[in-house]
Amino acid sequence: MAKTRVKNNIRKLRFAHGEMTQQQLADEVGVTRQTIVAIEKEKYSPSLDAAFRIAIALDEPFAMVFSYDTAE
Amino acid sequence: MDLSFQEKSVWGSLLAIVVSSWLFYPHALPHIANGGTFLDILPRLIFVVVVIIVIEIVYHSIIAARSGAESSDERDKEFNLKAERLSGYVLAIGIVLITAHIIIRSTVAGAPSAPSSLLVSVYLMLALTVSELSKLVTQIWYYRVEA
Repeated sequence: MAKTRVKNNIRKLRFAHGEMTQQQLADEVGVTRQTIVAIEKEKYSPSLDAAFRIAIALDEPFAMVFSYDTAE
Repeated sequence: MDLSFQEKSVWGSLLAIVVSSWLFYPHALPHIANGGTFLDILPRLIFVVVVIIVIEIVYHSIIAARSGAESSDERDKEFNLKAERLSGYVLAIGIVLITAHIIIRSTVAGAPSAPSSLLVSVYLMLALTVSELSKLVTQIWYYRVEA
C-alpha cells in the first residue's frame, strides 16, 4: 500500500528524546507498538487524537512531529 | 512476522473457522441434499461448535501467556470496521444468491424442486461463514499491507 501523505519525524524525535523506544512511546500514547511502527513507516495515518498524544509524549509542538505532503 | 495481539487473535479465529467449516460443510451439505434430517447432522454440529470453542480458548490462552493480552487500539478498530463493512456485503450477496436459488427452483418449469427449509438453513449458515471468513481475511490483509 502507498505511503500516507501524513509525514512525521517520530523516529528522529524518539532518539532525540532520550532514545525512547517504540514500546515506551506506544505505552504513553495508548496504542500498540505495531501501530507506532506503521505510523513511523508512514503506512498508517493516526487519528488526530493519537497524533496529538504522540506530540505530547515527545514533548514537541505538533508541527515539529507531523506535516502534510501537499505534492500531487 | 511482528504481530500484535489483535492480529494473532484474528489468525486464531481464522484457523477456528477454517477447521470447523472443513469438518462441517463437506459432511452436512451432501447429507441434507440427499434427504437427511436435522437430527442426523446435530451431533456433527455440536462437535463443530465445541471445536471452535476449544480452538479459540486454547489459542488465545497460549498467545496471551506468551506475549500478554493487549486491548485493541484505533488501528485495530479501523481495520475491524473496514472488514465488517466488506463482510456485510458478502453476506448480502450470499442471501441474494440463496433467494435467487429458491425462486428459480420454485418457479422455473423443469428445474429441480425447491430446496428443503433445512438445506436453506445450511446455505444461510454457509453464507454467514463465508462472510466471517471474508472479514478475517480482510483484517489480515490490512495488518500485513499496513504493517
